[in-house]
Amino acid sequence: MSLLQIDQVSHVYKRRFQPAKTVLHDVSLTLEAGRCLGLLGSSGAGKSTLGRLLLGLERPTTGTIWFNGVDRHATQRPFQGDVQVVFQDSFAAVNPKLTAADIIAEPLDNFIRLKGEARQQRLVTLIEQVGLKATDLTKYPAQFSGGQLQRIAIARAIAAEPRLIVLDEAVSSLDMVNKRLILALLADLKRLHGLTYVFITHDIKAAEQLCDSFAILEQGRLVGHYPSLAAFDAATDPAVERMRQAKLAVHPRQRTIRKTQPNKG
Amino acid sequence: MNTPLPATMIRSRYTPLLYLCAFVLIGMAGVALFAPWIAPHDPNLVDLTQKLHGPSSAYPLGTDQLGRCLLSRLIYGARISLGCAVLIFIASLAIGLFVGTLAGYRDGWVDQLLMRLCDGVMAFPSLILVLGLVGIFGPGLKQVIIALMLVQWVYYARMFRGMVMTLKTEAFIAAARVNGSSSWKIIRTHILPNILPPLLVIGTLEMGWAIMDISAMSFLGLGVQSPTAEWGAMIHEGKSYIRTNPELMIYPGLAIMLVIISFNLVGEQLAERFGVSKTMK
Repeated sequence: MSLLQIDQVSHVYKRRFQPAKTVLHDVSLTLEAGRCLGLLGSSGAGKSTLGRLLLGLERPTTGTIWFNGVDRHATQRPFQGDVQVVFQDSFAAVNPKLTAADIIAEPLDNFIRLKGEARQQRLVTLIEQVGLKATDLTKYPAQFSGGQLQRIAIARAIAAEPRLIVLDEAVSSLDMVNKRLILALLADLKRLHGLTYVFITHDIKAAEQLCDSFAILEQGRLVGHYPSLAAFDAATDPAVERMRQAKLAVHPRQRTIRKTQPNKG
Repeated sequence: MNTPLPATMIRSRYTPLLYLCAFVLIGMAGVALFAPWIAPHDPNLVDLTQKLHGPSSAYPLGTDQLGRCLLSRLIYGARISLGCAVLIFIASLAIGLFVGTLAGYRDGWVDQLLMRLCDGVMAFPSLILVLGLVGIFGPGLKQVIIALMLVQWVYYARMFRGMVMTLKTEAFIAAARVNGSSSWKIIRTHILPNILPPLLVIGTLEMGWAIMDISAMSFLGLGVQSPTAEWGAMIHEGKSYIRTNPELMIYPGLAIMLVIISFNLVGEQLAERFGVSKTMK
């Protein structure tokens, strides 16, 4: 049985004084445990909405999301700690008034309920697993860089031992160096904890580095689903091509934009 | 010059004036608290043989038309003016915080109902509404306090609703929900601590307004009743002697001005410090 099964999910945002907007049309996907699904698409394609549905922050207008054989939205309290999230903007994703320890401890206190020494020990383990020091636990978000703060958000996401983590543009705001480091960290943690990822991104290179299956959304519709990196690389359909063209060339000479301009130098 | 100033330079913008204002407010609070020990005379002791005297060693600011010590009346007046302002502020803040947080956090019909209620109250100019309520309840300090509270809370509710609604869309609130925090815990640990700094600013600015409102009501003869000493009431009583003894009105007027200016200047500095918009009406 698949860990995650998205079954003909559609989602409509009702708006005041404007016609309702359908952001997802009949999306169906399955994801096996221990794998990483890259959810690709440009802005407004419905990637993040699908992420919010997986998290339980919203319920789909029609269709069902089966998680571990259970309808994710059948209960009033879908938040059981088994699905976690890492957001794009790490500064917005943590409460500026809390210390790193408080931030990481939130899911711990809600789901695992450790006390005293064991709790402290767990916090130290978690922050060290994401490559920070135990002394960082007493710091406030303003004292961290964006990359460090993203590590804290990751520590919070793995704290309650989830099965699935939704990475919503988790590396999109980082510089190239941090992006590589965080992707490597995510890959390590996935092995270490046996995690499953849904990696929402518009960055095809980042997705190729972390994911082993790929889905492309365009205007709320699933336009491509590739079960392996090889299949994705070999794919030639227009949706994949459009995603590939969206990335910047590695070498400056390959930038097509330059070719059309007169050389002033 | 859009580059942000370094922290040390921001700190240096705390002018001596701010310290002076803070000193005035703390001094006033001290005077109000320890009035019985500081005042040279009983503020309500009538001595017609001493009426309308100028300053003397026994009466540092002179006496009023009934021979009561002006300084003592000012000191006791601080008690009522400041005390009631604090009371109105805390009570209306508490109601506004509760209603605003509830409306902002639980949108839908709860929000609609509470906000239409606020709209109804805000549709009237607040002074007229207070006058109307006092007209219903009858004159008296207690009635004025209740009326001011009933009118003031809507502005707090509106403001807190806006702040909560903005905060609610922050990613850390979504993360807190995913992390299994209950609504109450989210409000307590994520929302309230983040609306506290603006609260401090608004509170300081509003305190000045509350003192003004109480004094205004007393001046109109609706609030504090004779012979209780209160600044607005003192101006009211002294207005018959404006040609011969203007100090009867000048001293309480100065006291009101000093306190309100101090509250406003401190509030403005805090607003700058925390980057909060200064108006809520």
